[in-house]
Amino acid sequence: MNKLNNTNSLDIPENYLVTPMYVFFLIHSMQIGVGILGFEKYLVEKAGYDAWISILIAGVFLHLILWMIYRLLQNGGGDIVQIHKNVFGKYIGGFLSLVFSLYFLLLTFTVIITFIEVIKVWVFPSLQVWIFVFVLLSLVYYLVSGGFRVITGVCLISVFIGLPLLLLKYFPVQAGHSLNVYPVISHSVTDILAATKQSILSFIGLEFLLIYYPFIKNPAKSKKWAHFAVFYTTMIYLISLIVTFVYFSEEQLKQVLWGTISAWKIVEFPFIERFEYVGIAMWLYVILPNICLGLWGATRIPKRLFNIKQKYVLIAFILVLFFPAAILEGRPVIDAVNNLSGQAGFYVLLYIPVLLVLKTISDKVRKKREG
Amino acid sequence: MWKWKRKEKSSTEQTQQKSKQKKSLTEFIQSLQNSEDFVCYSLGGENECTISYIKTMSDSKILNRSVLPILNDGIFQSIEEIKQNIPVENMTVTEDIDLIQEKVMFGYIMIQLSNSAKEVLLIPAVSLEARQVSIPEVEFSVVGPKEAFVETLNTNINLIRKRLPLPQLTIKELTIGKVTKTRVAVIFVDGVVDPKNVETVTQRLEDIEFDQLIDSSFISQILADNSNSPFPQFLDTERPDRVVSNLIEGKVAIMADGAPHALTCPTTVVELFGASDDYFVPWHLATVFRLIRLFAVIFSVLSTPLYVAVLTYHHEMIPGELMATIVSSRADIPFPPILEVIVLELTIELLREAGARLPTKIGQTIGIVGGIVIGTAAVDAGLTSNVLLIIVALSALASFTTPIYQIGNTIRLIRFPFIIGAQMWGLIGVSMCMVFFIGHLVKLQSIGRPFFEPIYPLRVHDLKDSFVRLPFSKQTERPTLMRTKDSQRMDASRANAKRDIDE
Amino acid sequence: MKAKIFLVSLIAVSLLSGCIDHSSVEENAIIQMAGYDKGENKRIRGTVSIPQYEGSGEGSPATEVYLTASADGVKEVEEEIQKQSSKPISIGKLSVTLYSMELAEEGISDIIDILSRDPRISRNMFLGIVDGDTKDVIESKPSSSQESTSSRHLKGLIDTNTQYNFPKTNLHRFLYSYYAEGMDPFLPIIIPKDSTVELDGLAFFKGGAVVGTIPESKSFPFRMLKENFKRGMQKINFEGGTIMLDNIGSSVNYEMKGTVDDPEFDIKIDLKAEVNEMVGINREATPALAKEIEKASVDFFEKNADELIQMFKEKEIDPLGLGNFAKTRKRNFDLTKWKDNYSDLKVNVKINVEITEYGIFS
Repeated sequence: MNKLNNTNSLDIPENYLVTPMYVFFLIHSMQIGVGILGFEKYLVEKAGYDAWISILIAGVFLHLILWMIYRLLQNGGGDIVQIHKNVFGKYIGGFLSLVFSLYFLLLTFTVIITFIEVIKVWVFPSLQVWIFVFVLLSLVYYLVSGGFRVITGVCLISVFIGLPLLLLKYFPVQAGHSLNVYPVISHSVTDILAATKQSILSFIGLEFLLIYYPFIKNPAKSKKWAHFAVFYTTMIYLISLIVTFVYFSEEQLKQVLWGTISAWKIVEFPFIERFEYVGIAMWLYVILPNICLGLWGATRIPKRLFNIKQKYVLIAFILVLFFPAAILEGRPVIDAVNNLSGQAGFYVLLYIPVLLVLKTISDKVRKKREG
Repeated sequence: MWKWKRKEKSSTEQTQQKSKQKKSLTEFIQSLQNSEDFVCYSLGGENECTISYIKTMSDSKILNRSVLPILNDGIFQSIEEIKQNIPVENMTVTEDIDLIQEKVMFGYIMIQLSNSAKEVLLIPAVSLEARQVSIPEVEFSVVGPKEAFVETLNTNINLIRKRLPLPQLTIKELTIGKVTKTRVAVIFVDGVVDPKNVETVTQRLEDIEFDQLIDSSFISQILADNSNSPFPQFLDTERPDRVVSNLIEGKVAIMADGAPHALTCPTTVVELFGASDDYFVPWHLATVFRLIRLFAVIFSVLSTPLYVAVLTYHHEMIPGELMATIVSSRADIPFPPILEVIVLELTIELLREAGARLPTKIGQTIGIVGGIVIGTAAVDAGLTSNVLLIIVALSALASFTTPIYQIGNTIRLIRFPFIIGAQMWGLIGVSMCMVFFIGHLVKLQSIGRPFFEPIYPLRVHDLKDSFVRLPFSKQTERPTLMRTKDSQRMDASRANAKRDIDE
Repeated sequence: MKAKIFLVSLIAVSLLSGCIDHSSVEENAIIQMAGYDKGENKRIRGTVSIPQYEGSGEGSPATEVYLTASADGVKEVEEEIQKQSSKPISIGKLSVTLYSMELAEEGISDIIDILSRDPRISRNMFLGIVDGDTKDVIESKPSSSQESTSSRHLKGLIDTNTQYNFPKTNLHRFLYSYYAEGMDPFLPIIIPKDSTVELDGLAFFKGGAVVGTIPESKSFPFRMLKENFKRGMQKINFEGGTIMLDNIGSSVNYEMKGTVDDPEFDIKIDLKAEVNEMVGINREATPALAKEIEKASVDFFEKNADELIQMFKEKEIDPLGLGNFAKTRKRNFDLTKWKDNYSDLKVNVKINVEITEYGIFS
């Protein structure tokens, strides 16, 4: 055990660490992204009004995954790069870590193009995408170059700014039909599980813990915060789903691409109508942590692997993101990218238990050899 | 390349300094004699001593009453003997040419036994023209103390010390500014302050390489962690009571001679919006006032950008009832909203600048002329809309609610990027600007401590005195930001002891 | 150096951003009301009203401009109207859309599809069926109107009356029941009269076409069946005279009994009302009289409710959403089976009327 810890090459100076409480914000803000704006349609297509069960199952599943991630990290001697190195050796491990880096980059990319799609559909059909992406990415560069602490701050602010948006759920509830919410399970288990898979796709984001774990002060204490974050996210998804159930009829929901944004449309104040514009503008704060943390994670892995400056990797990755994001458009492409990253996320989540088993075996083998 | 050049430069500087040191007393006197107000004469009689001083800086009363009679009456063999006989405190006998130069320039009287003697007696006879302590003008408050700092450091320290009679109140003095040789005091309460903060401040002060230090704002700019930021990273106050209360919280204060302001640090962005009035009124009122001020700041920054965004891109957002008002007021205006807003905002800024530069009485007139005449005329001429005029006037008014002048300037300025953002991408542009500024605030530090503090890092304890102000009994600890050595303010259990009915 | 590059690029970007086409509010022709009639040769004739705001409007009444165009589809109508307008047309503030009965009876599914698709359209928009020409309703502001424009007048008309006798309606509610399984939408009917425009009854849809209507007198009972509400008045015949019941709170509760194949519905309604006017009845206001009035009104409402439900069964429509209700309560709900059985569905309406006050003078 001690020997393992000695191989830990990660000594992050104390002033770059964050307290355990921030794990809550890091995980929660990463889990909430563009997905929540339109996840209802996909769930309802699969499991109808019973999709709420799928959300709960997905929540439980994620708690399990989270537990495994902590098991992995607790005596893993650092982050995913270290674990991969210990389990698979330098080359295969390094390759797997690189795959993770690319996966993080893909997530970031998905968030960016989906958000741009939302803007184009709802606000500016004739948006000059490349300028927008350029400004957005320069902003992201500014934030990410501030380091992990700044990103944590962005996560925190994003959660706070997202809170008032939750209150807006009151309007659709008031206008809706409460009789829709009635626990009748009329779908088969396979349907519900299919919807569960679908909802896990919108829940991904906690796997970033694998890379920022060394930045947490007293990581053991952060466990409860992490679980609390997953629980909170599940609840928010559940509430959003129920609210859209109340507001839309089942068959209508299948037609509605962006359930949450459509529900904002009825928010009315004496001085402002049509809240979806404000909502989409404020959603920038909600997706920003996804982009920042995603890019940070994606660039951190090459830094750890090849010992190159993260700044250079960051610039390179931003350029990599810029061109496709500026060019790609159209619903089919974006759907395809979303599907791809969702699938990738699903397999990454499934990979975690496998890795845990492999790691336990390799640890035991190593112990035997030493003993 | 540049490094090498810099090295060269510093080496030439060093040689210059060396040559200065070599300069002798006679050369010093000779160079002073070019000025008409320098007096240097030999006393006749038995003591053949030379008296030199700068007429405009020295108090002739001391010379006439305490020095000349004694020199005329007695016979002295040594300079030490003179020192013992002259009834003036704090005299020094020295050969150090640097000290002599410094003191004489400040108004000390220099006495030499003979023209060529190297050892001199320096008699303090400084006559300083100082302003009376007056009421604060920038941070005026209706209730509470009405003393403000003046331009003399000694008076200012006096104002602080009399409120804080503690031996632990420590004052470190440094001389900064190659040419101006300004006295700068670093003030803190030993035992409460985090020594690291004092160290950072003194370290940075010592590193200042600048020839002049006219005001404390020079320090705040040079010392700032990020000098490109529009946000002031030091709290700039003219109220001694505020400085004292900051010192007790564990902050460090910096004062410069000649500046009627003190800088306290570390500070946070939230603190910049707090007024000292907040502590003089009951806590619920103070809380409401603070929230109003917060709202005013947000309104001031965002109102015109939102106007541009909504009118240019999102007119679906205007409620039907408001539509008629807005559209009919805009109907005759030939400019797009962005131009209209920029013209009007610039007009307001113009008025403000003009008002600030002109003497008070004319300044007021300018305000009235500008506000009423230009505003009405612009609307009548169909250059701006009524609605916008109201919005701009209100946002200007709202920006005046900031108690600290420096942050008021910041708010004045950061509105413009928001307006450009609004013109680019409507609400999303505004949102992007906001993200930039929030990110900037998260990044920013005040002498190495987080500037965005009670929000990020989130410290619930410090939130008690930020957007709200809870009663004093709830604030049992000093702010966590300062990492003070003695965090307890009072005995919490005694302060909050509950009494039963009729006890 | 970096900062300089950034600044330069920022300026360049902001200059380029002129690319997003924009025009400020007053440069748009903001359509507030639109109406669709059947035109010649199966075309659609669309009429829109665009308010004109006078400059520095010191209470100057706004006027409206009306544009009419015929085309094959709704979007084409928009395009045709654009050809007539000097300003770009904006449909974001559309607050009332009307369809002529003629058109609605043939089906307006295509139009509805567009409404649900366009992100610019408000979900709080009112829809209405005009018994006659929508063009006439839109273009003639009634002389009795309290509002400055006819679009505001109609919006106010529907808005106010759906707080009284007419059930709540807007685009979202319409789409909700249009798409829902086991639920059919309805819209208020508007008829132009000599000097005014009136809300006059409800039109019931099956799919996208109107199949039945009820007169204004039956909309109170329908609303009682449909939703809870707190206002509205109903006239009841009583002993040769009439009584005005002033609703102060009506609540409805559905309950489903039986199996999926043989369901039975209980609809319970509690109505609290005041009696403020009795015409042609010369009796003291006593508790006994109240009991009798309660009895009479229960009979009245039950009869009306049964008639309504009977009518729904005949037309095979379900504006009350009983099918939708059944679907959320029972497993294995089968829509086709439900539709087959719908005409035999047992619906028991139980009404309880409570008269609480007789006004302040007794």
